[in-house]
Amino acid sequence: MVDRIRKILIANRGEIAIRIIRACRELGIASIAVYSDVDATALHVRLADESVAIGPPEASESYLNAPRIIQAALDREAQAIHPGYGFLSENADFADQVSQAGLIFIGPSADAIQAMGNKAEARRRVSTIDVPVIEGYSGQDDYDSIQNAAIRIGYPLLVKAAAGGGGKGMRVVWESSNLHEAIDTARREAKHAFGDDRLILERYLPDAHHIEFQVLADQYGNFVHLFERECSVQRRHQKIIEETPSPLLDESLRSEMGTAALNVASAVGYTNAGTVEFIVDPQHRSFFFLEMNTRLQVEHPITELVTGLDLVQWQIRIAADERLPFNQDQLSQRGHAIECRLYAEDPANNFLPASGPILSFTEPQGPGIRVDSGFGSGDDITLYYDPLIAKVIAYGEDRLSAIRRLQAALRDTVLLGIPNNVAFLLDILSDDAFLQAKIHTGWVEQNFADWHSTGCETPAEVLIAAGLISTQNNLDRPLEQDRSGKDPFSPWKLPNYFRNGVGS
Amino acid sequence: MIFRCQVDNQLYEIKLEWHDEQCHATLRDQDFLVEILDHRPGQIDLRVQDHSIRLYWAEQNGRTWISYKGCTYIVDKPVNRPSNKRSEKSGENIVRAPMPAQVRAVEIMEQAQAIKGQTIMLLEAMKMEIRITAPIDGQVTRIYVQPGQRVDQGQLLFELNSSVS
Repeated sequence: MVDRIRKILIANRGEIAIRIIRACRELGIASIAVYSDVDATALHVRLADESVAIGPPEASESYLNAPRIIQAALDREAQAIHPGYGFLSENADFADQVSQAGLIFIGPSADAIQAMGNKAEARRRVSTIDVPVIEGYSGQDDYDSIQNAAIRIGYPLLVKAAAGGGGKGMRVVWESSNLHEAIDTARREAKHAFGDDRLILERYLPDAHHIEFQVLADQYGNFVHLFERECSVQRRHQKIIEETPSPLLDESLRSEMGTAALNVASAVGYTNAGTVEFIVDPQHRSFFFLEMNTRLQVEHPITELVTGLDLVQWQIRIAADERLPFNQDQLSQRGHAIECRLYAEDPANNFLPASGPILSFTEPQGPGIRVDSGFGSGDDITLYYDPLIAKVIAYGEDRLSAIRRLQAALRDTVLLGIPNNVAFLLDILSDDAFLQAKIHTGWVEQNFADWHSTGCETPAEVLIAAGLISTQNNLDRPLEQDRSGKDPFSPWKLPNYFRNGVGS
Repeated sequence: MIFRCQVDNQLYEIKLEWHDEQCHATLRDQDFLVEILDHRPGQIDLRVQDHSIRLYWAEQNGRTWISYKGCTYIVDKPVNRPSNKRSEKSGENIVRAPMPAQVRAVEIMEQAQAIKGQTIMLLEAMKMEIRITAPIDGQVTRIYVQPGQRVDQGQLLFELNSSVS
């Protein structure tokens, strides 16, 4: 089927690398993992068919090292490179270099990345077609020009990295006195995260919804959208929980926005999978183009669950020149899917990223539960990269049953040894406003600003278990006595049975 | 045997007495009948007073992490009461790294006056910028780190002297 591609190099790490390895397996394609020095034994390296070291831990020396990655693909005779998300995925130069090297870049053309990757350019392109763009400014970005534009647009507004994504290099400014500092911070973050410190301004709608449309386009001019994802539950502009369908959209708004998304994609001759992001004003039920992400999204699984399509497989098949065998009318949403992101971050310490070993990770299971994880028990979370550990995704016949499934799944998730946001996610998922879908992009910050874990009394069961575990670990007298007891099958008699295999 | 531990700064004492396959646990004058149903590395299934429960656990550096019904508890060995001797560097005069990070910039010189909330240094971890500010008004008496340096969680960053008016 995909004859042109027999081996793929995956220029990424963590859960998304593993997600792509799985798709390769299912298509009968070999996979090559790349890894930095700290990732030499990482899960994605262990699961791939082959692996290549690409440099020191700093991303700029390894996962962002385009020449090295392309050389690795050539050396191992891969036909294609999948960039995943983040890292080099939206780097037009990289896409270009991959093609120049005679390899297939699994994603859109360098031109499309160029056009959409820079937010200033994207705003210009989209404003020429019949799609509303949020009021903003993307001209000269010196202090004076930005200040003047800010006065025109009005506050609150958003200072954003032109090359940005993932909430990096982004600051909400509520009044003019904070503009200067926001510009400095955003510029520094942008420079560091994207190597490009250009900034743009956008009007900020505090009560808006963030709704994005997944599009898919083959190399023969066939475009479809795979409906929306509601991503309004955000903290510091980072999505935390995503779901589809959006509780806000009705059929007519959905179809209007879907058409707008297709218009945006076709305006730049888009191919492969991409996402068109909109801001929706719930009062006026009006929507504005925000940006287009020219790559696979973290939250792609919820779309897969409600449409039944495998997005990563379609990325590969489109790159291998296949035609989309379906048109828009043949696609539909079925049921409801919701995803949450498990981060190594410490809610007790202002949600700062945490690093260290995962002593134990038991993923939830059961009907309608999918877990895309990048790490397992014994693996290290390092501070070099994104703190995403895993995504837990639930599917149900309707919104409430999907939410209940996700809640149960999170309660079944065992993640020991590293601070994480599971308790925080559970509190959001059981909040009345969330259950009634009364959410917007500022909702988490307004309602969970000083969230802390409700410190409950330690249950007696936990203390008893701790006592039993400690007794057995110490291998002291009680055990010796027990070993001479009557029951030959007593668990306490097995030597060493109670040692933790991890980290000890 | 008596087991002592500490969870969330709270001290607990449990008495465990074995009778064949059953254990009597006593916690704050309350008795529990406990039976081990299954066990494997990192997992223990118990019956406590007729209720079957499963707990997951892991250990590191003398700490035991226990997961029970979706909550995680960190069980520590009891620490000896801190000595009454007042620690020589108390409270908010010293600022430590909130997490492992890299120092990106130090925005003040030693001996300079800082006002509460003023940015003293910028740290970076996982591409996020973390602003470290002065917790009080005071003179920066000592800066322990320099740009580019990697710091561990809890590592001393700088010290302020609040007595300067």
